[in-house]
Amino acid sequence: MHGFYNKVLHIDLTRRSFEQESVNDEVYQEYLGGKGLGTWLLLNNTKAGIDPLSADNVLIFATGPTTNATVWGSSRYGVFTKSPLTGLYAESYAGGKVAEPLSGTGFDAIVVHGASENPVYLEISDEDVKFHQASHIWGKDTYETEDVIKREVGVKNVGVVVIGPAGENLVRFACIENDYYRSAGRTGVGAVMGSKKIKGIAFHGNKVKQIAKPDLLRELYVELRNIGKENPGVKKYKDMGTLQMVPVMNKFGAFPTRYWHAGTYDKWQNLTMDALQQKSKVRAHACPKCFMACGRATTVLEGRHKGLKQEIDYETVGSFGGLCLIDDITEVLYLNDICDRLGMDTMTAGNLCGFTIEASHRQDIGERIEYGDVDGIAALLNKMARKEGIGATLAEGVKHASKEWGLEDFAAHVKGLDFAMYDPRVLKGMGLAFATSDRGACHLRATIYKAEISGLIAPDEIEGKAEIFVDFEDRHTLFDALILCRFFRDLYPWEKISTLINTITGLELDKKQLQKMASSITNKTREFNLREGMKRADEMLPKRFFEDKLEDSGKVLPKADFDKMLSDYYRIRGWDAPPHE
Amino acid sequence: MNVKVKLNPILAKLVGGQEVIEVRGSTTGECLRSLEERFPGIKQEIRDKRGRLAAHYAIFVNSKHAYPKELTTPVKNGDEIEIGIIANGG
Repeated sequence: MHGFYNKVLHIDLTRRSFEQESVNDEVYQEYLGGKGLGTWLLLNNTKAGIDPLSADNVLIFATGPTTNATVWGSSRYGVFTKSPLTGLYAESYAGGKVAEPLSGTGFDAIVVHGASENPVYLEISDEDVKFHQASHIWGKDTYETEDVIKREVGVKNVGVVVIGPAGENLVRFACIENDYYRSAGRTGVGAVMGSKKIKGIAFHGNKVKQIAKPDLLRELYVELRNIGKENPGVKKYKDMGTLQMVPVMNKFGAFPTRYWHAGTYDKWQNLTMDALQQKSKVRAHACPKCFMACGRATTVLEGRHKGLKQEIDYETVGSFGGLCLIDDITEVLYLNDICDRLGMDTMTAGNLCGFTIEASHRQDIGERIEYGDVDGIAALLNKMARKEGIGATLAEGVKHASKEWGLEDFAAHVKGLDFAMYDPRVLKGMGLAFATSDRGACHLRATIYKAEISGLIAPDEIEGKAEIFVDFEDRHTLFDALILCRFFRDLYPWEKISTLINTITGLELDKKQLQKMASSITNKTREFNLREGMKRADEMLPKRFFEDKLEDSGKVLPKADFDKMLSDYYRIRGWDAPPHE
Repeated sequence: MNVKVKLNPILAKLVGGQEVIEVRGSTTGECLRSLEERFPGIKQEIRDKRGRLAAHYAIFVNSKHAYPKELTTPVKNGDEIEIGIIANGG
């Protein structure tokens, strides 16, 4: 089919072999690429109940039909596996300069099976798969690892993904990184890579997919650029990146503060784009084929971190700034840098640090750590990555740690994945989002907060919320099947997605047919989760969000409101609730 | 010119809960100044230190965004200006 190679590469690490699989058009017609193809492959290549960190699990890298085509927002790849953090469906996406060389290898997806006995890095091209020994870089941080692999492969425009010490040590929220600061961050995909003893993968090649209507695609490309020039949202991304959310969320009272006790941080003004610019040189940084330039390429100009280079986003600022009360954005950058070097998800890591501070206040956990204690938090991050002392407990994730410490009702997670930075007691649709997301408490499956903040539907309004949520979720699912950057969501409404798919693949799909395709993909991820034993409790928020009022606004998410949204959601999806036991 | 200004919940709090205020002006900028004169709290909220529209706000006229002429778009009798928030997280 146009827009695809109709080929998947399977690599067996145990046998050090590889083979190609042809994929029929019918698969793409039903699931498209990216998330759709990745989920189809995940179900077909794993058995129920496998240990995610065993050789039985697979690690899948996928691109979409938009990848390497003339499409804005298309420089992303997806990773799919069984999560070691949740035991359920795992997906994570990253931008940067990997997607195009990955597509250049000539495959729609690459499925890595088995495990190596010794550390390796893979070189996957349009001609061969090479297994390079990696003992000389095992233990190195992500930046150095990427540099070494790029140097050793020695090919121009190579894309390299790597893990850090956290992935090697099977920390269950380890991530996969590329271009230093870009992360396939959530659900522990880096730990799966570590369990296979893969330190990195280099992709390169010159294969190009055929496009159904290249002239029309070019016209769409120009049209989108012109629309982007007139769009205020694009300007805001370019000016402030996602840090624009810091004032918004504090004014709404939904900025998670002091490990989910409050919704406004009295020092939030120290965590804004203005604050960053006062202490640093900041440059807007874009992935290929992007005019949003959400990246904040930052060099700290003063203080104890002078010279530190990093890129920062809202979620990391919330996770360390808000949850741990770090009131200096350069200190958040510093903690971000530690996580990136070690190869850990900043969102889960920040949540875990806040959780540990609370646990330390409530009982003797063998660790005294206070809110705002940057150096204590930095030390804790290192202990997590190396599984030292209390870090060994935290490295297993919040579900495990909260059970061990008897704080299960207090931990902010769903399915074992820590909350993203939107308090569901204020933005009630986010409660539905966290509960029902296939990968755990994720904000990105539907980004319903946009509808609530922009006024499309009031945050407290329950009636009709599930309907809007499903519409958002379906469109976002197609973004992930195409692998388009989320930040282009306002520029690709339903009709533009239809045009985009038509010009690339030749498929003619109206909104109803697109929704059906999105539902097929969503049903497939649910099939995986149910197969892996998802229970009703895995689609429920922690009790405290129904009962404990936010200290500043007094808001809760009434359980009856949550139940109404959830039952509406199940009805629209045509699903039953998962089994109790 | 009589123009309606629709306020988001954050701004509505600053004007005693009203969601729509009638103002006069021939451009969006004039209408906003008219609003700010009556409700100084609004000015503090929607302007940055240099008097520009604060970065997270956006202006819509009859549901169409006014960017890049957020403060200079002409308005006529019966038009509706919305001071909106753009939520670009992720």
